[in-house]
Amino acid sequence: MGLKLSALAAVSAMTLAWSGQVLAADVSRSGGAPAALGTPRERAEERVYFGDLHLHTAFSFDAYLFKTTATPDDAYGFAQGKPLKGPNGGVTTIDRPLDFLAVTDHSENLGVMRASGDPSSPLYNAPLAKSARDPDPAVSGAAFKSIIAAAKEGRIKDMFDPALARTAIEDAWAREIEAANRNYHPGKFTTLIAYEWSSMPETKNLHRNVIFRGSTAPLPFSSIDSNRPEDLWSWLERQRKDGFQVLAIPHNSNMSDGAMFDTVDSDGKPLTAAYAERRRRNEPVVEITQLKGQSETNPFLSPNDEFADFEVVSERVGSGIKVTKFHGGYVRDAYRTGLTMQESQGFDPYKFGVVGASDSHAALTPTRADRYNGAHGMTDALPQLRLSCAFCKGANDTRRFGAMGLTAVWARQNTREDIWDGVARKETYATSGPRMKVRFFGGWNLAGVTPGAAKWVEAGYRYGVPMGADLPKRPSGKAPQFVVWAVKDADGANLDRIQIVKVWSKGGHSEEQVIDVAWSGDRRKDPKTGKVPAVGSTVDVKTASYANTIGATELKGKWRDPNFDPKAPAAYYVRVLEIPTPRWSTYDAKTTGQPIPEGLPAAVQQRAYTSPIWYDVPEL
Amino acid sequence: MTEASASSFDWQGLRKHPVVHFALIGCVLFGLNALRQGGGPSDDEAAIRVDRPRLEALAGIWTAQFGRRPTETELTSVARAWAVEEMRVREARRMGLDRDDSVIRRRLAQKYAFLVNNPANQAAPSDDALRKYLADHADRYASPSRYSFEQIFYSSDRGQSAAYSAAQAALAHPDAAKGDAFPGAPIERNATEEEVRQDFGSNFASALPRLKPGFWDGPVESGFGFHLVKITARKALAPPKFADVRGQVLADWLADAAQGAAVKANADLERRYHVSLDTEAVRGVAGTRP
Repeated sequence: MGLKLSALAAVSAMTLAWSGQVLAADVSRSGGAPAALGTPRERAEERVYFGDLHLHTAFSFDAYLFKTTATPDDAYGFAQGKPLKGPNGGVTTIDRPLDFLAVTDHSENLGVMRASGDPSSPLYNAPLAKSARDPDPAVSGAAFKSIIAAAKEGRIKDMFDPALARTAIEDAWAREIEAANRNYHPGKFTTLIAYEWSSMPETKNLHRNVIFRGSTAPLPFSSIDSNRPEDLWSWLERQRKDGFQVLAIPHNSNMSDGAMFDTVDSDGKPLTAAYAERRRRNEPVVEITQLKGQSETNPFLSPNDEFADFEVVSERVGSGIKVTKFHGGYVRDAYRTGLTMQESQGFDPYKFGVVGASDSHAALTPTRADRYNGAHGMTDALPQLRLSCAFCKGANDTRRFGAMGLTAVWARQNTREDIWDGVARKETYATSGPRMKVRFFGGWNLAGVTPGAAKWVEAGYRYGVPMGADLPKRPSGKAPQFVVWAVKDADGANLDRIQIVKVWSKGGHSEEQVIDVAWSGDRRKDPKTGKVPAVGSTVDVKTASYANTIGATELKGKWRDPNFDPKAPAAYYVRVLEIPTPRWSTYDAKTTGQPIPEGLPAAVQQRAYTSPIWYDVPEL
Repeated sequence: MTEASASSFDWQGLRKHPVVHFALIGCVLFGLNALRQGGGPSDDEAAIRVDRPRLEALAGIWTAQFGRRPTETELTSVARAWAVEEMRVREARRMGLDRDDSVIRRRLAQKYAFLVNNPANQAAPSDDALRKYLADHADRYASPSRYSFEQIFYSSDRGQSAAYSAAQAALAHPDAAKGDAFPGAPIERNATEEEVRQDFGSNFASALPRLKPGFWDGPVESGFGFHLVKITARKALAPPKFADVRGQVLADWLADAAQGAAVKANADLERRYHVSLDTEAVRGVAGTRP
């Protein structure tokens, strides 16, 4: 056995050597020095790029068990517009190519499950391998559930012979890097070398995606090495010392049962300024929306937000266990927690921007309800399977999953450096799938910034700060002012409204408020509630269609905070809502002639969320 | 069987039957052979020599794995382990266990395919060869066409048919036409088709290559309304610089070469082997779709 192992190691060393030979000329750990930001005039010329920072292929143990066979190369190909063979037959294509993609396979036993399906691999005889390669997804699904159970109890490392697993992981990681580099076409399509750190103590989801900037990366640090986020950060910090530029993005806080944005660390100790500093440096952004639900807020946390009930998933990851603790599990709530800590203790661990992603386990990014073809291999790649939830038992109810989302980055050009740097400085917004354009500037005097006027973006950068930034020092007597602008997806639905969500803390107590800033048509704010009435709906459930006869193609507005309190730290972010459109399940119901499953809305309002602009109380 | 029938069995006839003679001779031969072999491998087959070349090979694998040469103790134990494996392999072969084993079959086929398909087996191409490859596949590496155009826009916020009529009417006097404010840059400069698609929608982007440059054309429908469009510049595919794409060209060259080698190897095999498929039997053996 020892000898077989050695031989495998030699072969994988050869594979590495060969990939090195091809790319030796361009290998860079850091991806080069960070590029300085342009002048306001140059910045006004920047474009917005749309992509997916979270996607799985057959190299992920769970995707393999769902019978996904597509590789990282297939995923990068699909994102660039190439057809992808579906696991249940047929061929899927994306409606429009993406600008960038990071394949983020689970680092825990990366590629090992796939290797166990190869008769020439010694892993072929591993205990789980036989049921894992069973062609029936119900049988291999049982293997998935036993792995989730093992992960819950910290037994994942015992599932495969560690030496055999390591050989397979090294081989898979070399292939991931090669595929990313092979598919990187600067200016046209950006790939980022990445993986997922899948810590889930008690199936409370603490997952993070780890994204590199350069063209090479060290062997992943997985949750088998440690399931404590603090240990992941230590590893990230060591990599940075070694020259790798890397950041981590938490996701599915909605499935963490309140553990993602807690007020204590992994040892149960209160957070400190040092903790906050590390967390912000390592995790500049958080994934706010994806297939397994949005993590902005929910109706329980935000009872006065009539749009909070959107694609809410309240189960723990990989299991049907209900989430019982929402506090600490949502982004808006985390901003509140952070601002209160800022106010009372002088540090904010939760000062992060937002991105969106798919978390697809089928190597394809679903971004449109009308083209949704599942995201979990054979288990949901047919309308009938999706509506009946045939493979959901004991796992998540995938009918509740949304066909979303995407990350939008304002950047000079479509390169690894510019996309990664845009994420690192939080100049990003997330969408539930549509590609609307959103601008957001804040400042103390934006009189010279009129959205839609000539050179207004240049003026925005000159007189204000963009999404993801801090307001500059406050001139005395001023309240902050904000300019918002949004244009509909050129191939999508019209817009209903732009809202600013304000979160602040005063006297150790946090508050939130949603303000309608721009909206379509001649609707008036209700004088009692201060809210703009609903836009209406053109959705026809029977034909699964809608019409752009309501809503607007473009919305813009300017707003000064009338209740600004200079002693209260605050965060302001933008939410853009589309008019109602059919949910993916409505399209499936039409296709199959079956009724929409109970509890699912026929229509949803797709949306975008920007990174906030922060106001901090100046130190005296 | 009854007592009567058993007693009437013809033992004499059986003794004279040629099949029985044949079987008896076979038994004798088998017995002799077993005696000669002592029930185990022959002397030659029993000798397992772990000689210098073998030790060098084992030490090489060790070194690849641990980054240093093995010590005497380590090498001895590796050699013993190898010998045990070798004994088992020979015994298994003697028993014919290697025949019709699906794992071994697949492994052999894989080893063969790996040898034939491995890009590392291709001699590194010269820069001249790569330049020729780049020239032959220029479109693969080219930057996309870029468009510059002006437009007069009629927003669908007026209503779809009103926007179309206004655009249609304006086509008669485009220079005097005053459209609506477009949500975005009114003039597109040096935009790729993908960028146009993002700014105007798929329908507009796919219409662009069909428009006549230098003239007001349209109306073209976008995601926002209707447009009159005057293309002011259309830059064709720019030829890529060799230095910029050398790495990618090399990777593609190697992949192509390996694929070419695999195709050739398969063709060679098909020349040397003759596969005949009993289609009658396929029909007999196959089931029907449930």
